[in-house]
Amino acid sequence: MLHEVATGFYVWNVLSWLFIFVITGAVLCLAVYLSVRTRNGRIAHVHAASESRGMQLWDLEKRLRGFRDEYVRPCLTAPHWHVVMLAVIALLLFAAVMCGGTGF
Amino acid sequence: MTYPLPFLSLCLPFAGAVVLLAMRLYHRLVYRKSGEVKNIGRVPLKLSFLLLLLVNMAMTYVVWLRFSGAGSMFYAFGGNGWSNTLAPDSAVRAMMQVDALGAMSALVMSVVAFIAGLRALADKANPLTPSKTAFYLMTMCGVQGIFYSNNLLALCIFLFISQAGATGLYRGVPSARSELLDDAWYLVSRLLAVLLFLAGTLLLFRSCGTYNFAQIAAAQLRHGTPQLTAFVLLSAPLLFLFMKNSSYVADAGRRCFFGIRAQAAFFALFRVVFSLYGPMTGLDKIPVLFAVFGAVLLGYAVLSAAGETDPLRFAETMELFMKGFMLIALSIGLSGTYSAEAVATYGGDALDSMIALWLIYLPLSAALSIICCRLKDVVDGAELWQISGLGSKTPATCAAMGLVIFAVSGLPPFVGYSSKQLLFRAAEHISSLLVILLFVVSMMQLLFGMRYLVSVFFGRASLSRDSNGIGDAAIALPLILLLLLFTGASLMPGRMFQKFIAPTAESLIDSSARTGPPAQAPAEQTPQDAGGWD
Repeated sequence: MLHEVATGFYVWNVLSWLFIFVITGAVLCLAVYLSVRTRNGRIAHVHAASESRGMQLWDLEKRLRGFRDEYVRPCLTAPHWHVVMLAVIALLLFAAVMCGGTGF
Repeated sequence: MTYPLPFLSLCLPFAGAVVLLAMRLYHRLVYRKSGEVKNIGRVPLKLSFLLLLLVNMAMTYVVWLRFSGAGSMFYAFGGNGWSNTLAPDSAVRAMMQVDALGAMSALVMSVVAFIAGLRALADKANPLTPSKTAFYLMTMCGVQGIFYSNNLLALCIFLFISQAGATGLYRGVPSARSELLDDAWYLVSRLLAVLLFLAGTLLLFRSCGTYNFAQIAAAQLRHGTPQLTAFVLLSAPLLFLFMKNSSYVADAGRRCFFGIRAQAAFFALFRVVFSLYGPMTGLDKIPVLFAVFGAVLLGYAVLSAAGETDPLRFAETMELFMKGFMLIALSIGLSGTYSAEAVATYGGDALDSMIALWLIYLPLSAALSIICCRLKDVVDGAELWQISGLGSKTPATCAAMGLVIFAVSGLPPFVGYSSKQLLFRAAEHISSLLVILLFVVSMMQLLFGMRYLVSVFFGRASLSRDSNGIGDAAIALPLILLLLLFTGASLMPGRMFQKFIAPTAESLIDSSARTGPPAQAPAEQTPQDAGGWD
């Protein structure tokens, strides 16, 4: 990395990645435009962004949001979640070290 | 005679915290007896807090400067005062050791703590109280101690101090039993985390006979259940504290300090993991598990970003993305560090990427916290983010948010680009599918970020009503300081890698690659070869 940074390779790297990002970015801009246009066209006043229907890009995102709000976030914000998370991490680590070198 | 600057930089905030808490306790006792309320003046409190942050930043800067010319340094207190040389028969043990990783981390942390402190001083919605100031200082002392610790026991002590500070910042001092019961699960989990770490430390001490990282890395550990259990007990709390750091608080100062703590937890995690992964057999599944943890975080980040409109949730989502990438970089770096071929092909790149991601995590997280907490401010009955076309009134905040989103997503030529590119390169040696997955997630991160930026700051302006209280001035100073950091790093990526990332990655490889038996102490040990002392 240091070598490349010190030489002109860095510039080419930036340009090549920029090129990839520009192509993907064009698609993104279109998606952003489509998703935001609805919102600004329909409601352009206070509490506009809280009307979140305009923030959906497609139906899948709406479903994901529903799933998250209904099932995932209530679990993750429950008081005992802290202890559960610590226990899950410890158990997974324990399982991983117990499987180490055993072929599993 | 050596001036123990690292030691002083720990003592200063700790002493400040203790004095403030003692004063609070005294005033509470006086209030109970006489009913007379005695408060510390707001101006002296703010001035002393600012002064402590400034002095601490200056000291960590000098420590970092000293380190760049002198190699690894340690500090011992003997009959002749402070020294950084030890005789072989000396009973004195080094109190702390500073290497590239620790010096640079402490410097970055103190700069961000200073910026967060500036925001906390100017925050009218969440005024600075003596207790809150004490907990800020305590967290800072604990985190700085984690960066300067060279052994597990010290790490455990400073982990406890930083946790005490963070717990105080989260809820403050409980004044009633009901408050204590409300947070019972939180307190139990944090206490359990520290106790697990202590148990792991003691268990490993029984196996190795030392707490020192360098000596543990040099020891040939047997494959046995106690050692593996110690690894689990040490890593699980650190992973937990890293992944579950942020709370839903609309206070930029506190949020920044939670970010500081997450960064310190990741620091401790990779220090512990790199010290044990080499000498300990039976850990071959660990890199895969870390990659799974990273993937889970990225998946949750995508889920969390779906249709999210709340600024604090948005900031949390962006942090989750960064954490996921950091864990995946750690897993690739771990698997690519212990053979010469792997280091040459992808291990070095992965480590550089991990350090770079970890380094920019804190300033980016701080900038996000400052901007998003500002968006939660209530003006005329509505939160700022709920007003469409906000960019026309707050152009600087809008530009800063854009810059942060581009940097977080790794868009070239911004500061996050080099780290993402190195990660893609390293991941290519693992699997092409992984590169595609990481790239797609990066693009989704950019998409969600841009969409949020456009939805909040652009569009038809609805500011015909009185817009007093809306503007850039409230967060201008901390944002300017943070943006100067980003701009410098974006304009000079080579210098950033040369000065910050490369020495840190080398220090990490050096500390983890010692596989021989512990070296005997020479007659007069110099700072450069003092790696084996504790």
